[in-house]
Amino acid sequence: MDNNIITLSKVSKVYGNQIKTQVLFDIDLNIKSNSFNGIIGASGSGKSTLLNIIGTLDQPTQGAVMIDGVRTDQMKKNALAKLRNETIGFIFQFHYLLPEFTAFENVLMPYYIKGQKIDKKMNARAHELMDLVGLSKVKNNLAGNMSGGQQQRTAIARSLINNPKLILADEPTGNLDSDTTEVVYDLLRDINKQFETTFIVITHDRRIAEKTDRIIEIKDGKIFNDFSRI
Amino acid sequence: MTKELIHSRFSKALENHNREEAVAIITDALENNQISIQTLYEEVLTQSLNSISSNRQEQSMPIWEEHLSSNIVRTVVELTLPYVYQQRQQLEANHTQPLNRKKAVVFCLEEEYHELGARMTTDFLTLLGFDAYFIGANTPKQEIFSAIKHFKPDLVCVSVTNYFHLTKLHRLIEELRTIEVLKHFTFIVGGYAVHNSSDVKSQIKADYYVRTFDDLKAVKEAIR
Amino acid sequence: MRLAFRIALRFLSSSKGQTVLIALGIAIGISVQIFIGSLIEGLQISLLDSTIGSSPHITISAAEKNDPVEDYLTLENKIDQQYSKVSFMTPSVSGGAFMKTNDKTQQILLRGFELDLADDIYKISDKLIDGSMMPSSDDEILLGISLAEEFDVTIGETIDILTATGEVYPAKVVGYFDLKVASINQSWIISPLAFSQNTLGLTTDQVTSLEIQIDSPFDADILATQMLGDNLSDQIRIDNWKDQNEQLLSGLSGQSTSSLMIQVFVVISVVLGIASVLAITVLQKSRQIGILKAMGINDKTSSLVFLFQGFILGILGGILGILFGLGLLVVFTKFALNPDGTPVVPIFINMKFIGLSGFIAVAASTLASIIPALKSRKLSPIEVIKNG
Repeated sequence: MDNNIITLSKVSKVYGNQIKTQVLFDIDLNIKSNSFNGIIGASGSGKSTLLNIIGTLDQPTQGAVMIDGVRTDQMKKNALAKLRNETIGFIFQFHYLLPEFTAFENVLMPYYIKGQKIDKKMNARAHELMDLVGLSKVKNNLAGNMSGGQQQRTAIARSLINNPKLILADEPTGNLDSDTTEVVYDLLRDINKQFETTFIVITHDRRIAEKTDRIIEIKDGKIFNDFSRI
Repeated sequence: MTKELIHSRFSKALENHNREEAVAIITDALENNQISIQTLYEEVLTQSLNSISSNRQEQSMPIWEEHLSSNIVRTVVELTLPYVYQQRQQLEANHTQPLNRKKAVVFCLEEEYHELGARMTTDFLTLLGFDAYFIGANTPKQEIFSAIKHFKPDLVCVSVTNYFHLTKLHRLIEELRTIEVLKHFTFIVGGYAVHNSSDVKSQIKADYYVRTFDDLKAVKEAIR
Repeated sequence: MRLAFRIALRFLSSSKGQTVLIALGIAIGISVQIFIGSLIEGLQISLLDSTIGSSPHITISAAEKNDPVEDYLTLENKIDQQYSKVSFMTPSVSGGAFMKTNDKTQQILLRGFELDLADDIYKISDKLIDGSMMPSSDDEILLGISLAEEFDVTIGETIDILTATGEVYPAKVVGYFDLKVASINQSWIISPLAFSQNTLGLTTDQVTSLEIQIDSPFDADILATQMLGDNLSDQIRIDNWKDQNEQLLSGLSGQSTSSLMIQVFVVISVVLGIASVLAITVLQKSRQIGILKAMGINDKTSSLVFLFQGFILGILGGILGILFGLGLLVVFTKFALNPDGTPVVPIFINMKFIGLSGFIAVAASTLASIIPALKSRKLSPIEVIKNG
């Protein structure tokens, strides 16, 4: 029984048309469900590219990508969009909230995109999530009207609204101060435990790395190290 | 006093944050030759440390308390130093050949703050006849290089507690091996992370992986 | 769909200044289009009215020149029954004769009509000079005002109408008319049909011509051709005002064409302007679109956002444009006045036209947003993230 939520086979990525740059070389990687994984690497090592491919924001030049049992490297745009919406949550270094909408609306946005009406239950869930991340008081603030930490926490709540099986985070605490970073990484771990969500977090923050079950280092487009806690 | 009694009394003192009591128990035992350094470190101090370590997934003790306890243990370790040399003397009393002490350099990697294991290893190496130099925790890469160049040790020992640092370790070993002048030493690694993570040996190309005093002894024999 | 609309609305309302500016741009274009269109239309109508509003659109006369139209009543009946587009019809007996007072004799054109029928066409009763009356008996006539002045004839005076053959028919002048055309005022004498028939030697079922006005003057040639094809009689010819007023027509159509061209170019410039501004909003919102796509919005929905933006802006701009346009027209009618207080150009407000302009505003805006909408399809979340 394969309890891998992600399987990468011989994944390579080459950029450029005339001048080609290879960023990933034959990556083989399996990620177990419910795991909390960290990815580290120098800038330019290819880690963000890897995460983007896992998240279907980018497609591999070669190789197979299997997310939650489906081959994403062969899927069409609309199917990929649906997968992203329902199965994957993203947390980036920059919050990427929609400034025209309130925090509460931003949190619900992936659900709006899913295309269903907001019923009482969903409304309650959004409130719950905002409370979970400690933002009960700023629900109706416009996204631009909050501190960086609050914005990032809103982004975290947003990534959870559709109950994704997988959350991908690219340096989620990169732009945050030390105190907020503490709060955020505790939050991520709690979410992993409470909702059984699989996490893949790119980080250079020791404190997040300490909370992971597995640490993978990418160097020059290849997996340089892969250590798991026993 | 038996080692079990020493252990239980020591643990109690630790629980009660009683530094004075803890130190007294140990120095007393050592003074009265009731316990060897090896037994003290491995079966009393390390056991006590493991029970308070936050390496476990479930944190049952607040960090300040953990620090308090490990610092008491640290104090004890520092106070055992004279007894370390004493015991070494006893062990080497029967040597007839000139002692050709090998050199060892012991440290933790950058951002690794759990140094007690390394500190105890230093004492073990001293016991085994090495000139052991403890550079400390949180050692930046350049300092490691510099220290090794300076001492030209026969043995380089690294203790890794946080498994996240294993990648650093891997890189360090790779880099050290490329420097010609630093090529001729034995690299040994130990620490919680080394023994509680997957695929360590296949990825870290260290020479030896050690846990106990006996492991160190075996290494000493091997590099003779 | 609903989400795209909601997002479009929010995008627009979050940058109110820009939205208002774009809507104003559309509004100005539409208001100019409405103003010019209504102005030219009003001009055409008043021109047409003054030219052929008071004259026949279609004239049926005998095929053979100088012959009368026989049995005109039957013909009239046929026309009445077959052609619903005919609004007014009068028989007419016209011919050259002489007018004689004590000291003067002059050639005139005697025009005899069924006066109440002819009034619908010529509106003679509106153009009578003070003190005049419409003829009530067969020997009463009206003189053109210039004719009356030249001959110094007073109302109530009797004058003689002389035929080419020398017969004399006295008639009592009961009024003067001013038909606003100098040559008519100088030469016409209007009389009841019987008088002219008598004077010019026609029988009671003969007339010189049947004069017809139709409800849409511009269709005169089409109806005339249709009438010819229907073979009402093989002894008639059918003329229409269009064939006889080529220069006027080309002038009018030239005016229409230029008006249309102006409107078209105004709309085109609105479309281009909006398209370029909306293309910029795509750029402005590219980050938001990238984020939305990362969250799983599909290309179709994201491009609909821009189409909806265009649509909403079109509605806003259209409403504003109609208001401005109507305002311009009202101001024009109030301030561009003749010395006598009437508007220089009477404005014709055609609700259908205004409605069409509103529709054009919405259509143009939506059209303008097609290219930005297509552009947004190409936005990929990865670019946003990399460049963010």
